[in-house]
Amino acid sequence: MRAKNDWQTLKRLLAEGFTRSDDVVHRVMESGDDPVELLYVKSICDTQMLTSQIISPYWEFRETQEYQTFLRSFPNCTEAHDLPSTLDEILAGSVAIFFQDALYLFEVRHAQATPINEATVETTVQGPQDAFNEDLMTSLNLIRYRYQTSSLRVEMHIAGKLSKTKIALVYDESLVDSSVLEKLKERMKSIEADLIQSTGQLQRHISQDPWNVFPTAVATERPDRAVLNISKGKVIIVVDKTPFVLIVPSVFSDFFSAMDDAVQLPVIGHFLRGLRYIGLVLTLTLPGLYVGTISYNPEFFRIQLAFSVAASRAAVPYASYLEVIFMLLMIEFLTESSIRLPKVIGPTATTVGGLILGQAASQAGLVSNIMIIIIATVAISNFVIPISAMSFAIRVVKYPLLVLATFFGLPGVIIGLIGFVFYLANLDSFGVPYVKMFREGDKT
Amino acid sequence: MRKNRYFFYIVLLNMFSNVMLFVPHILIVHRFTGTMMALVISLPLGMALLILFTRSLAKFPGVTLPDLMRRVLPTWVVTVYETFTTILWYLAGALTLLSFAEITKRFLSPESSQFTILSLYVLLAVFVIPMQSKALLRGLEVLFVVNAPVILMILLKSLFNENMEWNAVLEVGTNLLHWPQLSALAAGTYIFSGYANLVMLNDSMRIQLKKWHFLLIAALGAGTLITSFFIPIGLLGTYAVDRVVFPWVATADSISLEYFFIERMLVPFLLLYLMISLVSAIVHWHVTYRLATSLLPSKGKWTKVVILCVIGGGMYVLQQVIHDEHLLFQFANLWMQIRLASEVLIVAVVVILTRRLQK
Repeated sequence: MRAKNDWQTLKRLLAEGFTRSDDVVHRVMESGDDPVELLYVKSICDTQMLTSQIISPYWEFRETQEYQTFLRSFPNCTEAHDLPSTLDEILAGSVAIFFQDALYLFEVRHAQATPINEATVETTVQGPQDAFNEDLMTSLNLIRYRYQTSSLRVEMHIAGKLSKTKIALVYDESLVDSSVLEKLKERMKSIEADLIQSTGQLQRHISQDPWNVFPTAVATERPDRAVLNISKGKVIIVVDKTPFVLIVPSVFSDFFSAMDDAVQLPVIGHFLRGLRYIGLVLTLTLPGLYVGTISYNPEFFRIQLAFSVAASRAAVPYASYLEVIFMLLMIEFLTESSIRLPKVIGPTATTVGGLILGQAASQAGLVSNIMIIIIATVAISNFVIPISAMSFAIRVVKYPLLVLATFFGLPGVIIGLIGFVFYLANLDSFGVPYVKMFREGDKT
Repeated sequence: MRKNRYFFYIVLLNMFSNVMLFVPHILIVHRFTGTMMALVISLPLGMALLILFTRSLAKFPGVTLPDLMRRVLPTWVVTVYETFTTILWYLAGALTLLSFAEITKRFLSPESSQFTILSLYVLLAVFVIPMQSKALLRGLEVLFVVNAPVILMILLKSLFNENMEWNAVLEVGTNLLHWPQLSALAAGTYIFSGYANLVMLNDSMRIQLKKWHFLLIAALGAGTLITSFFIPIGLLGTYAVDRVVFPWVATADSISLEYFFIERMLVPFLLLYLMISLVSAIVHWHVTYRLATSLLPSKGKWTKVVILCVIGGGMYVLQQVIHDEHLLFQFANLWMQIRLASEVLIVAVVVILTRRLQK
């Protein structure tokens, strides 16, 4: 009896305003004495499928009963029982078919077939080139296709009060760290957001500290990276309608590995990884070290070097920290603008910024030549970090070091570095320590 | 080795940071009158304490010493003991910081006031010490592994320096037959006393030390003692060496890096030892903090804040009391001797306690 009640409620709801939305269609088909009503959201339903599988057959049957049986034989047809799930189904692309005494839901979702693209954010030289795409099923398909093991589990969740975003947790049941999984599910349940549209948003909701600078989940667009991580016992979070997936738990070193490391020979892989860490140290410390040595301890350099630095700075009328801040801001503006600008205008910005500002600023005596070299090193070595979330975080972190160097000189830089290391050591990603020099049983 | 590595880090940290706690200076003062004998004795003595302590505590993995004591001894004994060790450990960290603040002011940034420098160090320490022990040890590991090779390079570079006067080393080294000075003995055993941090850190690391681990520690300790005592003598001269308060700073400054963009080895030396001594002070203060929290009955947030304030604020009082280098040196000397005595006491307590608990 309950089903009937709900069905009545649904009908009332429908009369009261659900149809006020322009893309909600409510139509009645009447051939005999009992009419059949259809309710669906036009924008997410496949009209052709609707016509060929639901509307045309209706006119071919004499009895509504026969038509009902016909519909029930389709795998994507279910009988509706309660109101909330019915609403969800309709909003997800099902047609509600009202008979006299029953309500059927027939899924005719219009699949936006997005083609599988090449990876553009995380490129490799010789690895696989596929990337995930916006469609959840396609993304899952890409994972399944690469990981053909029966212990692979896919768990569906829904988050976002308004967006009702589908989120799939993918993991290998035999390898996954169950405490991580528990913690993740708990946090998934506690998400209280209206909209979840990207992996970044989801990450913000599942990581608990709002002031955390460092990402604790790798966002990747590469199925091969996702699969590699599944095989290491991690959980992949696939969010519908974004081409990126999240990998949890992720630790500091994960952000410094590219898929190239696995493609190349091991020695070369180690070399590349070492290179990235050197890049990290350079991009973090160079601005601070520059200010620290120039303004506090210029005598530390070899005498020839000290002279050439001084000569290069001879025309600069202000303290070194201003010079550094000025150039760092310029380079940040340049990076930001070249990300946001349309592809057509992009090169103009880089040319104007790089050539004119760099060359002209030093000729005008606003910054020293050595400063420009240092800033260029800082900017380039920042982009050596393969996962962009981490490279953004490092971009932010170098400023506190610069401030410490400005006020305290070289001891300030050292203090900053110690603080940085302990800050990282204090973080954890779903219970897994963020920084650990030697990880037991983790060989990649 | 993998399991024991954290233990090695805290032991090695003490070995490295001895340079900043006046150990070379104390040793050098008595170089003709008993340091050699003290060194010869401090190796077996330090190792004996270390072995007894770790062997006994290893039987009770995951338990801190105060907890262990509470099982057997009356509360007031534990309270007295804990108060004493808290102060002892606090002074260990404080002395390191004071001495390095002094060095920073003298050699790194003479324009800054000592107050600023000290505040910088104290602030860092106060923010880091309330961390979980395990996280703290992980951070320590990173800093240690990054720094250790460079420190080793500095030591080797000074050992194979062409200006090293081996005759001076021999001259001092043959002054063997003298009654050992207590202060030199205390300074010598300080090298090995990193293990004592286990009183609180035993619950955050597993130790399963075998014979070769002890041999390795002994070898490293002997190496540290010999280098930190003899290299300044060899480079600065038998007599001139005691005219400086920080013999190692002068030693580092007498070495040039011919093929590097920094010429004076003083620079990397100071920066590295700044890191090492700060980390060492942080470890000592972390133990202090944990001792203090276990000592006080209330575990609320405000208790912790008060403890941190006392730890930080105490530094300024200490700085006022110990306002010059000479006093600092004497204070450190005294602290070393008290440390040696209480270390013997702590080890004795641990050995007797574990014996009794095992029955």
